[in-house]
Amino acid sequence: MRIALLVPGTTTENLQAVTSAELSAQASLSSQTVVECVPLRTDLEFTGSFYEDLVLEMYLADAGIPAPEHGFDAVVIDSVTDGAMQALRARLSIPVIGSAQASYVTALMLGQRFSVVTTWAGWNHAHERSLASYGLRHKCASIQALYPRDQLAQARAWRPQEQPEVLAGAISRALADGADVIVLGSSTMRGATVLADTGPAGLPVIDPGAVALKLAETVLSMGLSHSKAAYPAPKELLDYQIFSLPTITGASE
Amino acid sequence: MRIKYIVPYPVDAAGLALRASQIPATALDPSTEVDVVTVRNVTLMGPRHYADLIFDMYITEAGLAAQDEGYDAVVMDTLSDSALFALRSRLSIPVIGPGIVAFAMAALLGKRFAIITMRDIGAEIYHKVLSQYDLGSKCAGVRIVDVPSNVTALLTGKEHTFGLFLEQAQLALDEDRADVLIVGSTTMHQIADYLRERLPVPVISGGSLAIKLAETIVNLGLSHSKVAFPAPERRYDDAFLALVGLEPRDDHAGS
Repeated sequence: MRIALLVPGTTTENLQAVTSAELSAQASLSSQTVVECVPLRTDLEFTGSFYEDLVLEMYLADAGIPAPEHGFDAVVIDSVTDGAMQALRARLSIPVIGSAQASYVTALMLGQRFSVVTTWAGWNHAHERSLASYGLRHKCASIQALYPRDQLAQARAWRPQEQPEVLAGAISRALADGADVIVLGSSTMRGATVLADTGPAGLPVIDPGAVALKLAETVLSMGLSHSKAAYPAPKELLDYQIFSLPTITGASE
Repeated sequence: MRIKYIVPYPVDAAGLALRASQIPATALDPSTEVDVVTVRNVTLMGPRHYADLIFDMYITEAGLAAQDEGYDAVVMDTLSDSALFALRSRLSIPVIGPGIVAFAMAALLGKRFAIITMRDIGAEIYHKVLSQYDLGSKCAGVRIVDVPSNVTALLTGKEHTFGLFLEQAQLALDEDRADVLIVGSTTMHQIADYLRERLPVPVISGGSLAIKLAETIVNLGLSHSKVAFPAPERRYDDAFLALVGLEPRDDHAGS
């Protein structure tokens, strides 16, 4: 099976940055599963407002709509905004999996209450919005950020291996909030699960990128997809409006 | 990978084969083995609370040794997720219940799920399990088909009643506004394909999906939270092992 992965910030210019083999290993995928990054027509990567979320969402839809024509069996959105997930589920029949929702439902299967740990407080709003829209806010003990709003530069410079104590601090705050499962709340925290031992023994730490890919594979292998009753197909296709977006680079800095 | 799948009734070989037919062989890695085992004593369907305790006791006993036996995960063959909490506390390997898997995956694929079940199972069990996970708000309704259940033959011989299941399932979509359908008992798993071919929504069969998710969770290097399900300070395994069985144990004197 072939999975199209939409990664914010990945454009035709830097497409090789994340390789299929690395992703497959992180998500423990079957040797039969191929992951291919589909470039976006924008380099917008870091969103900190609902306005930027919408811009990202438009470009994620733009990249995802052609996935079935290109022979993909599923689409995975490697953004914890789950941007365009609902629109793509309506537009497509192949499974469309968002990394935030995939992480939340995995947390449901492993514990009673999860906390989301983001790198920067400016990204918390996306989780608040998603949790409410999925009807799961009450299963979330808290959303904890490694860095407050006025420390975006530090958040972007954070490297899990170099500053594990920052993650450990956020995890212990989440535990104090009553969490028993940790969902890493930023796709940029990829690989931080190696630091799971910064928390107490037996505390599951969920990597949204890996879990989304693995659940896409799981859903496909079971012959399932999202419900078209929940996400009805549009009566009229307006893809040309989405495809009319200009290609933009260098605008997000 | 080895998964222990515990059937909560001491069924015969034919009954065991019907349960084992839930194993989603084509979806599993060829190296994944699923051992289907039964509990050692029986409980009756019907009024819940008392029977629930008996279920919990014998399923827990059947799962206690799973880690020492070399299993990588344990799944119980019931949407009630009986014994899930006790086994998660006792074991570190993933203990996965068809109930929570069905509800969580339904939440992934749609917005509101309905459960379809049979006369003598009733709706109360789902209220209990959904409350336990605080997921009642995701459930659009429980639809009961007026057909009795059978824990050994399952739906074998009842194919003529499948239309009744379809009728209730359709009502769940039309009147309850459900967008995902959960087959309410692993004893009904044979209806899943029939409904899947006739309904425009995902149909979730908890037993087979839980086996697959157990594999997925092991592959991801995850397990249930030991913060949510702390290990006991002291073990009382012998109390479980001493429980009376339908047949005498040949490997344990019941000390």
